[in-house]
Amino acid sequence: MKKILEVTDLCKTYIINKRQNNVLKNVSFTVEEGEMVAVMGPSGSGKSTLLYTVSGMDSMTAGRVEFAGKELSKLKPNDLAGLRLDEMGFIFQQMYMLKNLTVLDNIVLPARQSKANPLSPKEKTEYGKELMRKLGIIDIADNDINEVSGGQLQRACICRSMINKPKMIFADEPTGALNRTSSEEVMQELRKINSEGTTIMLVTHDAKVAAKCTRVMFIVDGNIKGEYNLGRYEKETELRERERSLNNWLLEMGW
Amino acid sequence: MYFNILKRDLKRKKTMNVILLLFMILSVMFVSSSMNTVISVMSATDKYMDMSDAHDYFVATTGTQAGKDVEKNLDGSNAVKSYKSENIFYLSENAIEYNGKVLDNQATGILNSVDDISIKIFDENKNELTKVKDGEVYMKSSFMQNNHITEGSKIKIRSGRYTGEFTVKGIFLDVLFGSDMMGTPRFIISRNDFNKYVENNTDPAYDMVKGNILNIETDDTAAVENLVSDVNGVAFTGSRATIKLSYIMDMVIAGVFLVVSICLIIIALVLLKFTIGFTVSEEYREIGVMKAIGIKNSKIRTLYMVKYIAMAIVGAVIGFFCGIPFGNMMMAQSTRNFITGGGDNYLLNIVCSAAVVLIIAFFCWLSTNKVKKFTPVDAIRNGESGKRYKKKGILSLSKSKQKPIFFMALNDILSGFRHFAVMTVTFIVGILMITIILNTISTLQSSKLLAWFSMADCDITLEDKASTDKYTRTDGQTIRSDYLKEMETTLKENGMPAQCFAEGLFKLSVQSDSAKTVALVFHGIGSTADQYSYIEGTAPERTNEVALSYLTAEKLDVNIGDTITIKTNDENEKFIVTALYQCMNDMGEGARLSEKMEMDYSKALGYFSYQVRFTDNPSASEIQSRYDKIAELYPDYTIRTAGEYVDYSVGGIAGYMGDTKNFIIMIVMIINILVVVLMEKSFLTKERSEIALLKAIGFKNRSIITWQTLRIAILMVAAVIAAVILSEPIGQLAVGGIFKMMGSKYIIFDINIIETYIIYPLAVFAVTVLAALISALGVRGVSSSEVNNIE
Repeated sequence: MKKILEVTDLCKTYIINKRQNNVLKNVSFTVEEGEMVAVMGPSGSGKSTLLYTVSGMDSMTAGRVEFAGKELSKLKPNDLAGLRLDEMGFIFQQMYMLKNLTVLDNIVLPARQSKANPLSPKEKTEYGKELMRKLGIIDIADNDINEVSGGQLQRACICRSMINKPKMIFADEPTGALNRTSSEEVMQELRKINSEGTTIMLVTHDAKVAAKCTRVMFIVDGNIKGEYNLGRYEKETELRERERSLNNWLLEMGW
Repeated sequence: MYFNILKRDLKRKKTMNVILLLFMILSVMFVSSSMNTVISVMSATDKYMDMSDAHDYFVATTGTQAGKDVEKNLDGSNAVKSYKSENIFYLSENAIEYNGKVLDNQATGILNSVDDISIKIFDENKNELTKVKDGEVYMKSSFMQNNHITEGSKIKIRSGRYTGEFTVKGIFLDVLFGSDMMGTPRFIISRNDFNKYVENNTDPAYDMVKGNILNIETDDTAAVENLVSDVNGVAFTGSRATIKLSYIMDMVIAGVFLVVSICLIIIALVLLKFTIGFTVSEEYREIGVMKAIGIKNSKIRTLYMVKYIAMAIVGAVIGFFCGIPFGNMMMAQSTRNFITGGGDNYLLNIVCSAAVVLIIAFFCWLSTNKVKKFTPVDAIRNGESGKRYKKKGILSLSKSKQKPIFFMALNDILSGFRHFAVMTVTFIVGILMITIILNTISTLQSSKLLAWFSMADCDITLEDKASTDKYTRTDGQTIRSDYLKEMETTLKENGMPAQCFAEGLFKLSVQSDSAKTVALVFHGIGSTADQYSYIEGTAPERTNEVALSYLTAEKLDVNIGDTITIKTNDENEKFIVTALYQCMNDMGEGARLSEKMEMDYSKALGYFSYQVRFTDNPSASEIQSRYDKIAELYPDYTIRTAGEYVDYSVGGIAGYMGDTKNFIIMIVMIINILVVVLMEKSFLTKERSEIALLKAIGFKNRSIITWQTLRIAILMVAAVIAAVILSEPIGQLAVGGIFKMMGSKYIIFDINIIETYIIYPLAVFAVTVLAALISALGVRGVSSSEVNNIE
């Protein structure tokens, strides 16, 4: 399998009130194309910082991050923005969307902004609708974002992250603000996307969510303490066993 | 505990609190300084007249007998409470010599002794002028400026047989003859110097250079007008209202500042209402949490009231001090020829500042009413209750072919116009201020204004300074008519076919069955009555027909078709009123006789310049080349284009208006910059999460900055369009109202479309959008990773 993300000796330090806070300490790992990787760890361990730094949303203090053959530290801010627009997709815990746009407009917006996307404006809209149809939210296309439920909105965020057919999706606690049913639905969609070939890296607190991923990285105090390979699964009945074994591993890691 | 919450709130929401404080300071500054200007300007002329001890009616007479006759009539009347009479000498139009040259552009002047003057006059420091040393002279500032006379230089003044030499001491402020519209320049000298003119002009042949000005106190000006209307030798009469009207051009400027001041107050109040409403609505999380832990609505409301009132008091104190120099600047610009006594009215500033604090408290009270609406759920849902089903977006990106950035900018404005209303109002008001003043200036410089001076349209005017003496004789009409024909022949021989004509002026007693007045009567030589503008009726073509100005018709209580009596050529003759017109001569009072009427020009008051109207419709550039040719043909004449003549007639007011225009453009630009910078700052705070999100999903800084700037640019374009549409009706309301005081029915603005609607709005647009662009650079400080950290 081809590496899509290669992280070597990544460090991230914040200086708050003249005090140095090393959030990430020489983190190294790789993600291969088609993987669905979960990052777990206690609060304040550096999970989200890791996600934002490797996706180019935040700067790194030291180390090397290579995404699809491009070294992020060598890219200018505009190139990084271009990379995020055309080759990456993002899903956040809070379902951030622009308040003045409809759900469909929010989904289509990155496509309309992208120069690399070869489709015409009309085709982009059609593709946005197709994604919404796939995720079962086509009925809310013309709704205001305040008119829909959290689960629907998060699925809309997934559509938005998919609109430019990215190589990789970064998700920061995508189910964190959702109830169990919505959470199940969202993870089902992410699995479907992953099975179609899109690489996913997500941050979660929830072992149920992580159990659906192919690999789990456990991070403590800015270091990756261990990795657990779950592999792919075919049947839903396998999930309970995956979850149990993951929980055991997490206990070993000190969760 | 509440104090702690307040303290932490001030610290944590520093940006928004600073923005709110700045708006409060601006509001106090604008309201206090503008209110001061409004009050001072509105009462300026009355106050100035009171300070000058100018009473209710004024009469100027020529010759020693006329003054005595008027005094005799006044002494025997119960209508007169008191009066003061001052001796004057008239100065002919070529009486002043400066640097060895007779000065140009003069009307008949007046010479006074400082000890004999019947009103109070003031020096340039606005202190009463009571003493003038022998050999020194004071004069009005416009006369000094127009003739480039400097303080300390020598000047010769001739009246009758005597010419005195004086050192120019400086300017003085004179309520009677100080306005720009009052062409008469007055000179103040010492009693000893004045006596030299008296001693050298005892010969009865020079009696006409002497005269009197009477300052009469009365409650019945109509009765006093009757007392003086039959006296021979009355050169000028005017009530307090007439003198006030002579400041019409100053009032135009003051009026423009009045509009500016009112606009600033409106902007200030709109800014406050918006900012307070905006900041309170941003407090949803805190309010929700406080409610969740059981704090009562009234307590929460008090907390915010205390915060905003404390800020308002700080803002009022700072705004009060900032408002003083700003107000003084406005006053200095708006009342050049007045003494207002209002510019340093600090008490008014304090009252205004306190009023703004009360207004802020009221707005806070209204805005904090929302506290009742916020629920603990708001704290959890970031202010979105989920109960709003009203569509927010109006446009659809999916259905639009616009670039997403432009779409977002336009959609933001249409979806949440409330948030942009302050800027829109500010921009519209600013552009309106500029268009109104530009239209006023171009109107004041337009040849169309000739009609307001009871003159027919023409291309060129020629002023012959010696003409008054030359043609003021019984057969003056024939001599002048012959001269005009000769001029037409000369011009035709030089390839300039033209009609040449001139206006003769008379001051005649005019009466109806119910009233009587002394009016300025016009008589065209070389022109026909139908060349003049009338608002109603038809031109007075027969010898027994007359056209009246609205003011005169109103005074005489007559209308078209009525008959009036005019004392022409020493005989009372009946005339039928055939038309009504508007004019600015003699403060709106006047009458026009048919050119067929034969007049005794020994009784004429004077003439206007010769007017030349080319009959072959030459182009503007051809007129300019003919202007130069005529200047060569008539080297002793002062040649002016029609526009220059109008500007000269209104005392060069357009030049002063130019300064006012620059001042207003500067104010508009500063206000736009301040409002845009502060509003953009508040948008960056409010939209931080959206900016972070856009960055996170791959929008470049440049695109986000363009989005933010485009919104301001779109608003500015909309504001320009709205201001262009509104400029005519608002202009009529603002400046037209002042012109209407002159008796004019309406004002037709002469609009320079390129300058008014393109160049200046473009300049304001460029400055405003640049300010928006610079402010929007703050976008660069928002990190895409903040997307998850924002409340």
